[in-house]
Amino acid sequence: MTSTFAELKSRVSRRLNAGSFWTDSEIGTVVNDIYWEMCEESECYETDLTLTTTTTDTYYDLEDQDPIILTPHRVWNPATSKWLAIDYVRNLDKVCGRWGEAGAEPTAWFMRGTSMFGVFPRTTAAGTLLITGSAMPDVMVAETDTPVFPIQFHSGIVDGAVSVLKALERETKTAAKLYEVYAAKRSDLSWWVKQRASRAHLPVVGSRYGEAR
Amino acid sequence: MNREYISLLIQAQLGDADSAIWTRDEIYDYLQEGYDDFTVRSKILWARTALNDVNGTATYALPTTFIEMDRVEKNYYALPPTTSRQQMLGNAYFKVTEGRPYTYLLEDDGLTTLRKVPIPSENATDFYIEYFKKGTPLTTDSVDLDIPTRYVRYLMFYTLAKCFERDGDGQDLALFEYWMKMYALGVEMVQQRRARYFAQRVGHLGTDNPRNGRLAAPGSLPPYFPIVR
Repeated sequence: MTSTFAELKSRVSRRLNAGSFWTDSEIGTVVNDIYWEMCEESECYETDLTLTTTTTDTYYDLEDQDPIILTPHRVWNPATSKWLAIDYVRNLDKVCGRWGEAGAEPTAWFMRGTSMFGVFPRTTAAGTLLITGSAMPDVMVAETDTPVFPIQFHSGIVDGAVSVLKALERETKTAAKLYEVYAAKRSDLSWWVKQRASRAHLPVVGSRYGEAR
Repeated sequence: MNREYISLLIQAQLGDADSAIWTRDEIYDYLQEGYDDFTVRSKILWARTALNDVNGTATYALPTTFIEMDRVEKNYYALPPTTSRQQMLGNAYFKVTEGRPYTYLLEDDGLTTLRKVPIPSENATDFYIEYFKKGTPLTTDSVDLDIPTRYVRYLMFYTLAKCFERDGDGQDLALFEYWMKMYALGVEMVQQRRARYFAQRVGHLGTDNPRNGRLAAPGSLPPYFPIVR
């Protein structure tokens, strides 16, 4: 069971009880804004990106890619059939002095700033890397489009959208109250994303329990 | 997306399309303020740019949008930052010595000036700075915002908040608080996104990927600590 874009807009319109004050397009825009906000905060959408690498670039802006990757999780080099190791620029500076100059098949990746994806070493021949990670989903356009996360969290989209539109109507109390509900549902989604898989417990120094969960 | 387009959207949301309460210039001011605040607090914009060596020139103006230095590189080598005090201890003539720069200073010459130590003795194009920056100032309607489009709505929230904050017609402090809360969410999301990557790279005892330089210190538990069943 899912909520379609049309159903979400209809539920927002009904909750606003505003007749024709807000157009279908205005409601749709706010619904998509809230939908993206929930997706970005929870990082609930995971997918692959085939990144085209060049011989001249060490850095690639993930915001310029389609889909936009928020956090890379794993990177695969099809040319070597190997996973790239996650690294850090301070570590490269320490262990491999002129790392920016080197040219070979990439063996490690790292991030700079918020969205700059770096590879080490810089490739000597144009190729591709397969990045798996959390990403921004497409916005809902068709009336039958559905959010990427499960239906139990769809009401968060409605609460968030109604909150924003009520604030624009200057009904501050209602907007503020609904914002709290929306924030709680956003938080629920984030927790669900983090905890949906139960993993064997690996002891960490300082942890209290040594048993598997 | 430029400031004119955004301000039209904001005026529509304020219900003040004819600027009866909030003028266009006032909205531009708030928008610029929000833009600077967002980029400084979230550090969303990062850039790498050349700061070429000029023979005999010690100090170099940093870009006007500069916020914070991330890394400096010369001939592919990372240069560590230094302080005047350290340099005075090691080489009292560091301000007149010429040679190939191996460190840099970000003090004593102004907040946005970088001093190369020693002073470059030849022209070169292999000196780069990597830094966090603000967006290009929105001085005209033709300047597009540098941040991804989906974050522009948070600048609109900031502008709406400021419109409701100011004294006079249209003031509504409850709405100011509401929109500021929505704006803060945008800043937090960007900060969290960067933090997620840095959380990933940290190795714990018991993980399967101890990195070079991150092995356990002598006397502590081994990196491959057995799983307790």
